[in-house]
Amino acid sequence: MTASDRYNQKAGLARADAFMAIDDDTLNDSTSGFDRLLRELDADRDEAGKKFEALRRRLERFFDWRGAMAPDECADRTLDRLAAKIGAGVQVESMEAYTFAIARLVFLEQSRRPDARAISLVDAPEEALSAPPVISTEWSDCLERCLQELPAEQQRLILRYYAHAKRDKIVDRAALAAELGITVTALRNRAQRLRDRLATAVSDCVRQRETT
Amino acid sequence: MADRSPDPLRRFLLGALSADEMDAIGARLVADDAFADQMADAEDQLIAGYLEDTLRDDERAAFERVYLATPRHRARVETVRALTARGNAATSAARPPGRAARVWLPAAAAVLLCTTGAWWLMSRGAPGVPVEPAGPAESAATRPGAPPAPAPDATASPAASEPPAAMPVVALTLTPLVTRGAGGQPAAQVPRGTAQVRLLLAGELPPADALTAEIAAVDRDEVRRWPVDDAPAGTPGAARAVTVPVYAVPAGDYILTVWQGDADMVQRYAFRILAP
Repeated sequence: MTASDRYNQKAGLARADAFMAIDDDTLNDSTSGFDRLLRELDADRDEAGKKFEALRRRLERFFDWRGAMAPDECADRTLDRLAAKIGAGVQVESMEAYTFAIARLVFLEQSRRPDARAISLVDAPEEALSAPPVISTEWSDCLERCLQELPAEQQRLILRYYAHAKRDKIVDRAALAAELGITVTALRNRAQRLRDRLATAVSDCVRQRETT
Repeated sequence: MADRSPDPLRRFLLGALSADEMDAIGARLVADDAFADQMADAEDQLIAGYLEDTLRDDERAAFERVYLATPRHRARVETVRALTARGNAATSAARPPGRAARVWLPAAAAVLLCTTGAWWLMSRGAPGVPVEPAGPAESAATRPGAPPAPAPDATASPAASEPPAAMPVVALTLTPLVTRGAGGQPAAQVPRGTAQVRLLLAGELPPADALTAEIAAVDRDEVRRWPVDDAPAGTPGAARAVTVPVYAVPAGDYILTVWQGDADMVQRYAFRILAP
């Protein structure tokens, strides 16, 4: 049984990958911390799970916008430390403020790692000097392939969302949101999640082509 | 929630705030979903502004230096660029002719940029004006080594049979560096809206798959490595090509070294990128 399996079993959360980066020993030590963290978030287990996911998503976005190379790993590391602190009995007045204080440290730490440097320098290790993710028309070819793999409804949504320029865009997005019966903000969130999934899939596709 | 001008959010994304301001916004991002949504909106607008070339000069420079320094962000921008072109191509088919002329043209075309062999290959022309190729050009569909375009799929969405988006490219032909300083070095001015710079390598070179290109900025402590491809068919005097995103070669002087394996230097070239 993996660490995340055990966590899921214990916490009753559907999502497992938040804790993939945690090794078994750490998890054993901090499982009670996660329990306490969940209780701090909400007395109701399901609500706690939702709040945990929302917090993780906000952390991931924070790390992404700050330019972290692996926002998901940074978010997991932050939550791991948060749980460990709470498990150790640290009294937290403001969960968000305390979480941010940890996140800030995690970001600073990862920024000092050689593989986190955005620009490859002469003295960077060979593996850091990897090929760029954007290479000529392969990007377009891979995008085509990845688009075709999306359900038709999602394909139409993402293409409509990014069609049109400037002023047309605002009107058309409002119309699209109205058609779907959601707010423009909800539409944007949905489109951005799709966009990021596509970007990851296309990056993987381009990398795969390079290696074959 | 207090009202907040979108400007600090843009400056956060561009790394243009003080450390305290960055922290203040970071703390709100971790605490407040609605605020994070505002940031997402600011990011969307920033990316659109970059792709539509409506950012101020300082914003554009910061965007390329800070935001695009992250591979994930580069992938995001290129995905939006391709989706926008793709989405416009898809919707243009359903629009009246008058509106269709306003969207990007899917065909690639080229215009001569300067006398040293720089060509701007465009995936879009001026609104409603098709641009005819003026020199050695390539398109997404004809690039050697690219897989054949997928056959139209009757079961796919209406957009499925549209051609893939190509990215605007400036091409610059380089000749091997024999004696540094002898003669003028090729130079290219990169117009706004360009996505990539293609360096066409003249001279005797081994097969592309055995080669790696190393581009060193002369005035900065910066070296990056890139894959080498075959030059597009019909390119006079160049056998290989190195294509790099435009943000990887800001204005300045560069030395491009071609390596075979880890230790064998094959050829060196010098070039200059001029400010737009």
